[in-house]
Amino acid sequence: MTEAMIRNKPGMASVKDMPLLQDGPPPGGFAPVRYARRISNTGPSAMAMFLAVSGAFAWGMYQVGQGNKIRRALKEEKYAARRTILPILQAEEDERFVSEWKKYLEYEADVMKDVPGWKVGENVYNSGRWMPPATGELRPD
Amino acid sequence: MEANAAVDGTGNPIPTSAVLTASAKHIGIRCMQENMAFLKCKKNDPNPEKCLEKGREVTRCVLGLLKDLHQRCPKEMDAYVGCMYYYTNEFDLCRKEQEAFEKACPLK
Repeated sequence: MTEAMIRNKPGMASVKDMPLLQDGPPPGGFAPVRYARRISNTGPSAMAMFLAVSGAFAWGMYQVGQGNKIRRALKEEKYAARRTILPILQAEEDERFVSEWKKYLEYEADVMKDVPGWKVGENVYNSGRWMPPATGELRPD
Repeated sequence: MEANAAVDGTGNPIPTSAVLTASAKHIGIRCMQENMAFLKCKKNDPNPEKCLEKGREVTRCVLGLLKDLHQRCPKEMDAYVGCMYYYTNEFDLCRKEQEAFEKACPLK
């Protein structure tokens, strides 16, 4: 009912004679739109791209090698320093161990003095090599 | 006494890790004989009681060297040891102090 009252044309016989009210193109139509592909053939060739990428790769790997050389030199410096100070640290630890070991042997002699046929200390292994004591009582904590 | 001091109250150098790594290059040159003798002895027989004398030589050489270094260039050595202590014995982070130390007490 309301459409008929809006789009009224005087002298209408029925609703089917209403004038059209549509959204349409402007007069003369729209401007033409291009939808065809335009991919250009210019730019670097395949060989040029391949050479550029492999050149970048080769230069990068060379830089990796140089960096590894530098890192290896730093590690060598650190290990050389450790090798140099190893003897003094071992010597100090030996002194401490020997004094602790002597105290331990005295304690053992004291504990086992009534046991017949017990040789104090040094009754560990039969191979002849020196092995560090396995009990962990002489650790330097 | 702070932990990064290179010497104790009477001027004797304390062989902490910072001090030893700071003077490692000097030790490697000046105490090489004693170190090699000690290591050869250890290779023969790992028993600590057998290599005590060589160990004492090593200790004597290294502590004497530390004291000598500290007497000849105290400021540079203290700076280098302090830097080593701060960066936990990383050589690459203390290049400036290392160069100053090696200029004052050259490795020979």
